[in-house]
Amino acid sequence: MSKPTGLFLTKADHTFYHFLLDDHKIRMEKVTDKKSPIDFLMDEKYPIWMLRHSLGSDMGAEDYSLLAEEDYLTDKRSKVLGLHQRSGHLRDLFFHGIKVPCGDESYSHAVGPIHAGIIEPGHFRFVVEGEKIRHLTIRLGFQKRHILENMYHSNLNKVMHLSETISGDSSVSYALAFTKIIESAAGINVSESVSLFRSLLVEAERIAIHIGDLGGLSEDIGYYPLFGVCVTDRGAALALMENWTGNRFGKGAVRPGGVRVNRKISANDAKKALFALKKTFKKNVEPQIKRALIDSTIKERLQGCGTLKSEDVIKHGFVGMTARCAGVMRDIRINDPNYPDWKPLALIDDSNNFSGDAWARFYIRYSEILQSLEWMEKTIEKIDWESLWSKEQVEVTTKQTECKPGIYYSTVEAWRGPIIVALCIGPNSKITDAYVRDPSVLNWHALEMAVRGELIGDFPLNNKSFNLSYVGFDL
Amino acid sequence: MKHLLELMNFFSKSQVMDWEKASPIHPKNRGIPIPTKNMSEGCGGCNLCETSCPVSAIQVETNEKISFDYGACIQCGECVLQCPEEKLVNSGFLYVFAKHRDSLKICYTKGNFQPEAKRPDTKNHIRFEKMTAVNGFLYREVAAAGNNSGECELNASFNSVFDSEREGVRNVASPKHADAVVYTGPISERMAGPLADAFEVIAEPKALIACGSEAVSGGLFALGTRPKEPDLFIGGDPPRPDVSIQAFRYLMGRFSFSFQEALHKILQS
Repeated sequence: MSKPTGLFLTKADHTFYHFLLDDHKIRMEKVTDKKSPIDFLMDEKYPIWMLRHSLGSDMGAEDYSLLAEEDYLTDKRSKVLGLHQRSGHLRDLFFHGIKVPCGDESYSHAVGPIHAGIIEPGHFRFVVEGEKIRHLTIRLGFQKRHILENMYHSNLNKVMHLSETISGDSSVSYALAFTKIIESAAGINVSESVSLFRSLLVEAERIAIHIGDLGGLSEDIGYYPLFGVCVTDRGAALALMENWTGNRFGKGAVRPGGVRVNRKISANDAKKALFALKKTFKKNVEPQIKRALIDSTIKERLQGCGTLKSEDVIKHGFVGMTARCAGVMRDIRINDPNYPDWKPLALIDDSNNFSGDAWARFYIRYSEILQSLEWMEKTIEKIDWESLWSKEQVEVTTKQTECKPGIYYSTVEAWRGPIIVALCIGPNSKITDAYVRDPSVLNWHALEMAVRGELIGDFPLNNKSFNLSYVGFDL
Repeated sequence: MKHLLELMNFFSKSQVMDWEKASPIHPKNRGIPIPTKNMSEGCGGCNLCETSCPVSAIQVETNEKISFDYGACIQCGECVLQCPEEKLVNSGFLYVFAKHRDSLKICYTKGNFQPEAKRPDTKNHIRFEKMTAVNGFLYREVAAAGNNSGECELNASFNSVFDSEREGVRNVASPKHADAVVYTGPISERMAGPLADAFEVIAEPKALIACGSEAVSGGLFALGTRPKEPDLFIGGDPPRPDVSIQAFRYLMGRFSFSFQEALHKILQS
């Protein structure tokens, strides 16, 4: 079944394009049967966070304090007309002041914009009854840097650098999405080694963040043996990227025409670099993860915490890792030609571990690290490392590119889920319009839903287990 | 068996980084771009490095005179690749930090420069150093539109390799408990207020620390409003955890360092 997962409204000709996710593939289509934001709002197959992110604008402070709680939390948008729009205009999801329904027995509790840990800013409004969260409302927008407008005034060279700042922990994935667009607009073909190596970088990024998140989750439940190992040995995955690209986050590496590999090391060392990560993971990290997995108290602590039902995933169109955690297979790597022999996770056979709770979000990270490592190990044999590490390969990326005007899009399965980038390219290879959809745009709503009825003390754990991007949403 | 392993742990070698032996040069990282030896003949003046630099950190004034703003430099390696005569190189030098913004700006003549005389510390530097020299300091981190890679690296600075806490440097939840604010990012319009508030509630003496090229100069974006001129500028996109901690040690007076002298030494070798 195809599910809308992105919506791009072009400025110039005011046309709606939606992105449909089906059969592990995302395609763009022009929407012909809808004319206004309200038409989309009334069609419940479009996820609400996606609509408000794409079409919303600043409509001033939000006041829902007079609504009954069940009306405030309703999925039926036609029931409460004022919930998401005012006089025909959708509200955005930025914080402009908000009042939420709060009964006499509960109290409303605001967190943010600055949070307690070292993390990005956002506004979380809890309504709690004792220890229990009745509902949570998330509003963002503090990180807005006008990055898309910045792109309209920049040449392609700078656009590539900007793409890497959309969300720093997905630098490689965003650079790859932009690169794919520019390459198809300029008619550049790259060798198989280059495209496979880019996939390797995306997977290295995934492993780095997943190891860090396993550490973060263990910290939040007070299980320090795993925390200590993960926060340290996450460095092994970052070191792999540093070896391959010269930057711990792979910034400045993926560019139209090729990959700017780190020529401070030899091709042979580059090929072997993966084994250093594998060795560290197998020797230090995996034994500790396994120890945690068989520990019944950890299982009990995480199971049933912040559960997300698979029906909700399908209904609200949650994507990527969040969907897979709830047993819904959504993985666009399955049909990606740059991922030959990709084996998806066995969600059905292992359904006990993919039941949408914090345990699933813990377990899936371990499974995906193993999955990626295995695939990377097979793939490094298919790459011609000598030609990839040659000077000529790197020099190609410095050439000016001439793009054919038009509208283009690309998708990359980053570690959070599929990212979508659509660009309108005008004359002189200038970007005239852009749409960037981070998986967090949809999945923030999953966090809102998952914590309803949970303990407020578990919120840091639940938030960490989703680990969503604030800056990728705010742009 | 388990107990035996835990006992053995006491005798195994610690993997923690030794600050006395730590090198400002990383063998694999790109680091800042510096001129190579053959820059002494002048650079050719094609201006490609200047025009390709995404953060406008390079200015080619004449054939012989090039200035670099290493505080703004995001260490992307673009200029090194663009230079047709290969007169720039990724040095791997990472310790891009100073107490004064201008110390991070270098003007090369024929590929060399004269390091500046030591700039005097401000009154605030001296007070802050006195307070923190023995006890370290607590900081509140404010992500002011930082792209979360800076936050990742600050989180990593507490792990067992870098171990920020052995220097007494720790992150606290409330600015009221803090001695300093460390901020990342170019400061968006909507974070300027919260950042100023967080800084204001800290009792004197206090320090404002700009962590990362975006915080120092705005990077690819325009720099927003800061509560005051920062007391410490750390370049890098993002700075490695060891670089941030060395910079904190420098601010506390535990690490004697001058960016310009260290860079000059590398140019000579």
